[in-house]
Amino acid sequence: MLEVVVTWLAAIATLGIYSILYKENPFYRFFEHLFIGLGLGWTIFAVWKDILHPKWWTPMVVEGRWYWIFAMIIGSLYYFIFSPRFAWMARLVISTMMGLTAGLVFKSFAAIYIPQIEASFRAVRFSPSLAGGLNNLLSTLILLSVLIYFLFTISQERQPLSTLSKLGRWFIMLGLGAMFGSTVMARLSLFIDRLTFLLHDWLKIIRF
Amino acid sequence: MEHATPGVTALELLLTGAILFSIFLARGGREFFLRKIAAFAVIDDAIGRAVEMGRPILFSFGLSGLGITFFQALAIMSYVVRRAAEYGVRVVVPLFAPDVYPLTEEVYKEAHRSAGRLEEYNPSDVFFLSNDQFAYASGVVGIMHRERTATHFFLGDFAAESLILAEEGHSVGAVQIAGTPSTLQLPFFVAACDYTLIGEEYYAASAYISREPIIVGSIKGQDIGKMALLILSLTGVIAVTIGGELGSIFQHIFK
Repeated sequence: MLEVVVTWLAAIATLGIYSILYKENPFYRFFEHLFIGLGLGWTIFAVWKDILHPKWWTPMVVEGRWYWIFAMIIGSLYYFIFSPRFAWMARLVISTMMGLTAGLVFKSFAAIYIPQIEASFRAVRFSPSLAGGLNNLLSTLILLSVLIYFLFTISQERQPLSTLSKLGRWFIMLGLGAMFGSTVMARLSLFIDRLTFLLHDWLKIIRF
Repeated sequence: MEHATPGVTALELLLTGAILFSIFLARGGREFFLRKIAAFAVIDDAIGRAVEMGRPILFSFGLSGLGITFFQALAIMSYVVRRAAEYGVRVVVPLFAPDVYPLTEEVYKEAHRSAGRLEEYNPSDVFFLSNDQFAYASGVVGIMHRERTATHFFLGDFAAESLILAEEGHSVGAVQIAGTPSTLQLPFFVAACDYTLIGEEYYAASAYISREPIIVGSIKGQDIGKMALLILSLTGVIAVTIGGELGSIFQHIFK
């Protein structure tokens, strides 16, 4: 019985959200706010269950590592942003987070981009494979033109930069088009999942 | 790659050195050229459209939390809010991440102050909406329809909700300017928005808007770095094509 009620509720909620395709209406508005409220409630629960309880509460209270209390004290400083007089305390936390982020980005730069630079050293030889040589030539041309497109402080009105920059833009668009196609397939699978739920689980029109 | 090899160390020193040197020059008064990017050139026009229609502007940071992506978008938001405030247009900013709320509100208020229109500042125009991805998307879509927003800015980290927002934004007839460092979401913005900041253009945004010597110098330094990488790559291609010892050196340059 409970399963039937849950299926009906889920189906009505799905239709409620899809009703925006017709126009904004009270039915959509109700489920929009319900969705937002449920999302927030779920997040609070998940933060406690997945982060605070196992990584902070348990070490501090159950395992007796009392010094974890400092995590709460330092974290709570963030709330001083609402006090003009003590906002500097919040800035300590914010600037620490910014510094941490900058450091991590700097560290990840080498790990992400250096292998790409190394991988760009491709031999343009047409034997033994003509296709392999052409592929490497094309790869080098794309790298050259796209990098030129992303130069911001150099005028690209003169040749050959103008042509190479335009070529780079075309290559980017071709790449984005390919990505668009593959990602749309993934989005369609999400839609098919919802349709399957409505037609199979709820209305039982289709059977597998 | 856990530890830097001599090749990596040399490259990182070269790149950071180029950026620091350019910042040093910019702070010393050297003015650097910045080429035109379409999406920036139309920001004022997009704001003007909202003014003419007497409707609000929507500015979404997407799923951005405290980080580099957010701060870039925050600089653009500050500009948009200031320009909009000068003409008495509201900018609605629904947020996904609660930790960015105080900063956004502060910058929003400061933008009104610098426009000389602090009396128009409405704290409820910046608000936390939801930190559930699709709940956030449904909320923003609802705002677009109810507020009948005239101009949309989607700048920040976006994921699967990008097409939902851009497509719905298109359906309400708004002018849309988008930008994200997320390569996977760019095609959707290119398809459904009027102007899109592609890749690195997103990070050049604050330089265009603020013209701050430090940021412009940083962009110049990055360009020098890109040219160095370009030369390195082309030399590497030539070296491995010729082969022999030179090719071997390039194949192991970062190892």
